[in-house]
Amino acid sequence: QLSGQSGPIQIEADTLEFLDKQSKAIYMGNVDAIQGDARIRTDKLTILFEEKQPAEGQANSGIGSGVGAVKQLVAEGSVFYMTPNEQAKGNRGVYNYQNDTIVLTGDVIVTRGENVIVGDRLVIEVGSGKSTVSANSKKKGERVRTVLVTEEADGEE
Amino acid sequence: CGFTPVYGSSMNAEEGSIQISQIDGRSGQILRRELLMLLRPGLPNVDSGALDVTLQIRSTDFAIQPAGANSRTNTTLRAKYTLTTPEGTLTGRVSGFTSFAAPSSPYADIMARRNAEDRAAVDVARNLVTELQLRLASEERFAGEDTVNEGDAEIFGDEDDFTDVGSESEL
Amino acid sequence: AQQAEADKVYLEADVLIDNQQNQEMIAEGNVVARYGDRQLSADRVIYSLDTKKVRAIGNVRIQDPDGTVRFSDEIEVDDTLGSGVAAEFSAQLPDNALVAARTATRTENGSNMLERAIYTACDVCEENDYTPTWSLRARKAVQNAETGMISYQDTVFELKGVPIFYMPYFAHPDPTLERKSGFLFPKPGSSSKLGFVYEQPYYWAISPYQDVIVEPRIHTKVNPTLGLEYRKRFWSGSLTADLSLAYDYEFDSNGDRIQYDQNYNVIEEPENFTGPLIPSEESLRSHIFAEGGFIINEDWRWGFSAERVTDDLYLRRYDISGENEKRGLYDTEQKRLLSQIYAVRQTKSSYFDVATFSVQGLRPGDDDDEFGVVTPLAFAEQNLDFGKYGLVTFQGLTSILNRAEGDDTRRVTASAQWENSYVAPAGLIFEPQAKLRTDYYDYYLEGTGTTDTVEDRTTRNVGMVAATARWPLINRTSFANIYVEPIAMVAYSESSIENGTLPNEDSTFYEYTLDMAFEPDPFATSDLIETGTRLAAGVRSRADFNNNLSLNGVVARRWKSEDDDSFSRASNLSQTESDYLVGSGLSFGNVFSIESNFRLDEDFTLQRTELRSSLEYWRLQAGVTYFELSDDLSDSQIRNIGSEGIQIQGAFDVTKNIKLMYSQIRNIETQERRREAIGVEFYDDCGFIRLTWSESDISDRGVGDSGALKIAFGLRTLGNLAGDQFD
Repeated sequence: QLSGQSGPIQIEADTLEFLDKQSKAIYMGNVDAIQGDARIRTDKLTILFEEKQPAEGQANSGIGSGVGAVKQLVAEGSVFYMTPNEQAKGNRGVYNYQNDTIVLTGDVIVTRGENVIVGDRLVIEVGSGKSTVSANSKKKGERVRTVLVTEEADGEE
Repeated sequence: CGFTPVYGSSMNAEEGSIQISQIDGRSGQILRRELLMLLRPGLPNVDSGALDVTLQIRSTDFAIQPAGANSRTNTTLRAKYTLTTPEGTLTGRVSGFTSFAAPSSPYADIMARRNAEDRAAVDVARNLVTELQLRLASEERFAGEDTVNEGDAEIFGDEDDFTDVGSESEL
Repeated sequence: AQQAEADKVYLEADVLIDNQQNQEMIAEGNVVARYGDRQLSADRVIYSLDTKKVRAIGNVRIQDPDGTVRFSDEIEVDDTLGSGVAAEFSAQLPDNALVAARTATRTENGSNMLERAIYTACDVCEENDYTPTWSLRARKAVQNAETGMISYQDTVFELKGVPIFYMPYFAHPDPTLERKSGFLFPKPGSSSKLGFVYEQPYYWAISPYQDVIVEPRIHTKVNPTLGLEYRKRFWSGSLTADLSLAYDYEFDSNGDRIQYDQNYNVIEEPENFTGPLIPSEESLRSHIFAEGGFIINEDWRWGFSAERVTDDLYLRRYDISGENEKRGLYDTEQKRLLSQIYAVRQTKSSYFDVATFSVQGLRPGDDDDEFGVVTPLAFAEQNLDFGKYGLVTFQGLTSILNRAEGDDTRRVTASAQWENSYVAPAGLIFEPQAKLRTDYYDYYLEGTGTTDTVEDRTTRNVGMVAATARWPLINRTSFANIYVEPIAMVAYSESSIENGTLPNEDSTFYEYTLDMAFEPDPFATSDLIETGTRLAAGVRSRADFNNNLSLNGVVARRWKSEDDDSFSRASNLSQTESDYLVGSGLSFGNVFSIESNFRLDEDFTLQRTELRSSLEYWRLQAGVTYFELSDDLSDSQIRNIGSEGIQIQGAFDVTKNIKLMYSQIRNIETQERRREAIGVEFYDDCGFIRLTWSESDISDRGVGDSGALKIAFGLRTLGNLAGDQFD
């Protein structure tokens, strides 16, 4: 799931294209996916489903009938991942159901309250609430930069 | 035999062309008056110039009398000068020297010391004008860094060092 | 880097892990954290959001705003990166002194408390296998930000790693602060007169423009003394005063009480003196050396100096230095103290000074009443430059001398002088001069055995005309520029009163020397004058070679219309033909220079020789000054005690850290040494230790000719310690 809670994911988009053969669904145009209190907004969202071996003799019929559970969500364009206490933005986001992680890459900016973290790659383990931002080691000098706000400094400095 | 007069035509010196600014201290005033006279005919190859001089003085007592009193005092007056002209500037250092036998009466000694400063200033004036004439008469007068001959290297020892003239106590 | 505002921590790392469960942010991979202008860098930083603690692990480096850099393996600080605890801590102080410690705790106000700390201002570098020249090792050290002091407990001072001495408690001002009141380095020493000496100066910064050093001093052989060095800066100038107090009897060079006979002269060997002995009594003794200089406005300034002592040999007994320094407009000779008040006004073409002074004599037989008080002594000169019409100079001076016993002489002089300079054909310079001078005398000369008392008021008028001709020539060759200037001067003056009848206070030992060789009127401000016709001629020359060598030479002689026995033989103006005056000089850049001048009589025997030379080459610096007066010169007026003397000084750099020093002032005729000193100094860029052994043959009324060992050592940032010149 996208957020700590399980439950259905509502997705709205301008268009939806469903490719049974590749068990893939592509939402295009200010896509807005919500699950519990987590939300993804992106230009294009591709959902990859598990192949479902058609039970013997049962042909695929109807949309989504031939696909299994959601394997992966891939968001592209200006991807926003928002939870009540954290907003993250990146160029591309991939959510893996198996290891329950969201990976956001490309000019990643994470803001939590007034703290801002800028990096190249964000990995959020949704279950444990642990997120890791790292820099793109290929580009020299690329660093993770953070501004943390301490409690209002009690005027001691 | 190759000697040409400094103030002959070939050196085109301009009369009254050198301005001399204030030189602090009593011996500075006397040095300035001597320079006003010696520089009246001007300087070779210079049609206008301004001369700035600061003075330092060192007097060494030769205290070699039994009770520690001195019997002779050497006075060295050291002048650091800067001559600025439209073509370039000259800086350097010359010194004047005099020595006197120290009279035993304190008033006579103080007057002899004051007189020695004035005499050293007259000596500085002549040496300074000679150095300026020599340096300005040569072609590469403004080229290159001028070699300031220190004359007397600062040496270890408790002889009293140079003090500035004009700001009497070194406060 | 971006300047973070005060309450934000700016963090940079390779990876940042944000663990919401335990509210921790972990930054890894050459982490840089900046808070205000304090910066921390480390391999790994853990910032806990709830406790606001920052833990840094792995070659931690904290740079403080004042430039201090602290290193540690692991450190835990608050989120201002300020206070906290560090392990394996070390800090580079701004003027690269170094502090290191096993652990360091830093409190809110920036004070550091170090355990098993070491402090040094020396380089800790590999080639001397990390042992600094000197270092202070302490069980505990506290750098207190409020008091600005660094204090150590159980301290061991180590020299090159060898423990030298132990101090239970030691403190010194934090080198980064400027003026801190506190104890200065003690000044130990030893002297045959005073025994072992220990002086503990205390520096008290009274206010931003005022401070005083209090110097109590104890001696094993004589009573203690108290010294004060006071300084104050005003808006328009400043003032300093050194004074000292002692309560003791007079003592001789080995500290024993001086014994007098009835007529109050010192008995050098009291043991074998038969007559009644009067021991000197204990009394309060003191000295003061004060000076002040103040600017009134752009042209005017005034100042004063005060030099007083209770008894002649006080300064010598307690080895107080500073006796012969110039503290105002006038200074005087050795063993004489001068107190003066003076004012000076100077503009570009005018100068005026006025002063009054009194002298205290410290020499045997000096009687201050005979010296008199000078009120006032003034000098004024004004130049008026009329361009091609010449230069006019007005001079005025007063010399009022009143003595409690002996002569009173009062003189006021005024003079006007015109001079000009013309360039004649072929570059000959012609300088005519005319001068009028009047002296008003009011004097009382006390009768001596041969003369009776004379009291008179009279005026002396002197007129002079003179002309100088000089012909400066230059020869530029390929290897040198040579300058030659033949000079001739002729002067004639008439005086209403001849020399000899009026008092002569200021030119008793006048000598006609090279510096005045071509001056028509060498006595412009003096009691003496020159009359009749006189002629002076000579040649000045100088050659500057292009390899930095320079030679110069002068020769001059003076002729007079008739002998004048009001001048002494030594003055060189008594006969119709003066002695020859010869000067010569050689200098080779800054390396070597020698200047000499001689006085030779008509058959060229040396009457006076003066020599000054200095050498600075390779590792040797040396200077020699020598003079010698012939017997007939010194026999006459100039006392013959000081007719030949030499001063030698030298320093040799044995290595770049060891220097040998030697100096001697010697009276060759009496083979007596005014002072001879030999010293050795070990130094590097963080400290020096200098040992000087000096001896002097000068002895004055029982105090003198003794050897003295002087130890001076200084540790950079901790201060210098120079024992005074004890002998």
